[in-house]
Amino acid sequence: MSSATRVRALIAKEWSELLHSRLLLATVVGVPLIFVGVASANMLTVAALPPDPTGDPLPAYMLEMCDGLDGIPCVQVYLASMFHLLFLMTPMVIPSTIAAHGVVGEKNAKTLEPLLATPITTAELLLAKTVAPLVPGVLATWFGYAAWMAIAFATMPRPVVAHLLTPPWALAMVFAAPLMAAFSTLIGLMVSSRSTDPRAAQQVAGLGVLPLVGLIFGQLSGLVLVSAPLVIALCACLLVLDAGLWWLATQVFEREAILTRWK
Amino acid sequence: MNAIIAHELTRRFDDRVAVDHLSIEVAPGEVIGFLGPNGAGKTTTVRMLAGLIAPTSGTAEVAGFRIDTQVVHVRARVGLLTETPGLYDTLPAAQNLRLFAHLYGCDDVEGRIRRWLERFGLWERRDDPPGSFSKGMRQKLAIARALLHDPPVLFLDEPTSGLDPEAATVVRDAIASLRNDGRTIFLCTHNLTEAERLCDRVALFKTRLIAVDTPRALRDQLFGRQVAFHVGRADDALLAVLRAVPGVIEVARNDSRLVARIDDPEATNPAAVRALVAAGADVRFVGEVRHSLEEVYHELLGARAGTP
Ligand SMILES: Nc1ncnc2c1ncn2[C@@H]1O[C@H](COP(=O)(O)OP(=O)(O)OP(=O)(O)O)[C@@H](O)[C@H]1O
Ligand SMILES: [Mg+2]
Repeated sequence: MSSATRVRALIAKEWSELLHSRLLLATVVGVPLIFVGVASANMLTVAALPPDPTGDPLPAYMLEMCDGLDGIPCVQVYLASMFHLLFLMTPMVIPSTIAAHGVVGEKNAKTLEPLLATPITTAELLLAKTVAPLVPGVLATWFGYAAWMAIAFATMPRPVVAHLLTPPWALAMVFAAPLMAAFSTLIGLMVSSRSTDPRAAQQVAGLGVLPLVGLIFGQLSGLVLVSAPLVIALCACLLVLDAGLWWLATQVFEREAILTRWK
Repeated sequence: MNAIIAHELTRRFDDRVAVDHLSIEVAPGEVIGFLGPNGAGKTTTVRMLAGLIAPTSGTAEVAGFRIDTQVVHVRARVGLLTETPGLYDTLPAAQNLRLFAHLYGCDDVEGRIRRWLERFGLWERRDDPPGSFSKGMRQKLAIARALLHDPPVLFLDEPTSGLDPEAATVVRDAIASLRNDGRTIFLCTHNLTEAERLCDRVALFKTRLIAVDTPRALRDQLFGRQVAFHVGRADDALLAVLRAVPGVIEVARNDSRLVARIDDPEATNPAAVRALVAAGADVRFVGEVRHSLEEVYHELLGARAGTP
């Protein structure tokens, strides 16, 4: 009961501070906005191309992905899958940025010591510091994705649209996105509790995005085809990783070291 | 039972000893000044007693709980004003307090916030962020935050350092107003006037505890009690007369005054005055010589350090 009160109070504080930080607000709002803009502009540019600009046949891995479509619509489906992955970067980028500021920011403002002097437990503190960045990160992802889908549905031909919202992507957005957000939040928090510079913490935390970038290049080159089993396997891995990171975070976050080792 | 009991409390940072075998007891409701120069280990002591860092060795009990095995109970029962106020500068003053009221599991959160803000004259500014406050107001808000949960023990780590004299007075008055609440206050400072005005007892500390007593007893212990007899013309004859009075330990001549060290002036002065008058002295007035705590401090610490 009082434990939930403490966590809720701290989350409320984190969100109020978020609303007062231009940098963090710009990240939360700006990142999905840019992704929506880039994705829509690309899709519309491709749609405006002449039916067969090069005359060459499309590579086999593209055709496999489009099953049945050819020409410009297939290129659109192929690009769309790229942008799906781009949207999956949102839950990696936003929460890690917020989380990286979460501890370093308080350390620099000297607000951490009064906080640690209260009866709040380390787990409660970490829980609040994890949930607080995770929620806006996931919401921003979903809003951005929904906006892009709305634009795509309004402007794309029906056969292309039918290939956009497929079960693997729906699964990825609903389940993988929050798990990825938790992953990057925890990395951001851990780096943050061991660093004195929010920007450095942010950059190191940003490295957590790399596996996802690998996936993007895998798909670009036709090596990986995103399918429902792949997404489910990815979610399972993330779940295990998240649990491990949570345990690690509770170990890394030593109240005393945070106060005495980095003045 | 005492509010603070420290026993051989020691804290090392690598091979530097910050606090060396500190043993001290503080009674409930007592205001104790913890006086020492920069780097004396005041903040380290407070952090240990407030349950923020662990001692290297030794133990302590604060508000009835041990700082090692019952640290969560200790944290719930102490208030801490840290060296820097550590307020959330962008959030309204009331919201700063609200967070801590919830963290301490307080009931009647809004009532408490109002009570403390009104008490420190900040209620009108409750919706403003502390970033827009003066230093004195920020410090008062931070003290209010430390008091929200009505802790029986309050630690104040240099509450007036870095404030201009006016702001320091405002904060000092706020602390003085807490004196009658029956709360134990552990006040770190290197301001001697502050310690003398606010504290029942003063601990002189520089890595080790050097002395602890009431400011008056510290003065008496060090300089003895001294009485000045203003006699117009102090000559060797009068000096000899005074020295012969039982209870007078030592006499010095100083222009028109004879300054005597007397253990119990209340008992000895009448006889001394009678003897001087009988010897023909014009006793104009008799007064006790007061030494400042500052003199005690420098005498005991042997250095002119840390006085602002
Ligand atoms: N986190 C730390 N790491 C290493 N040494 C430390 C640390 N904190 C304090 N010390 C050392 O311990 C000693 C006591 O420091 P402390 O901050 O407790 O003194 P203080 O009395 O509060 O001084 P001030 O009046 O300047 O606030 C100093 O020599 C300081 O350098
Ligand atoms: Mg200090």
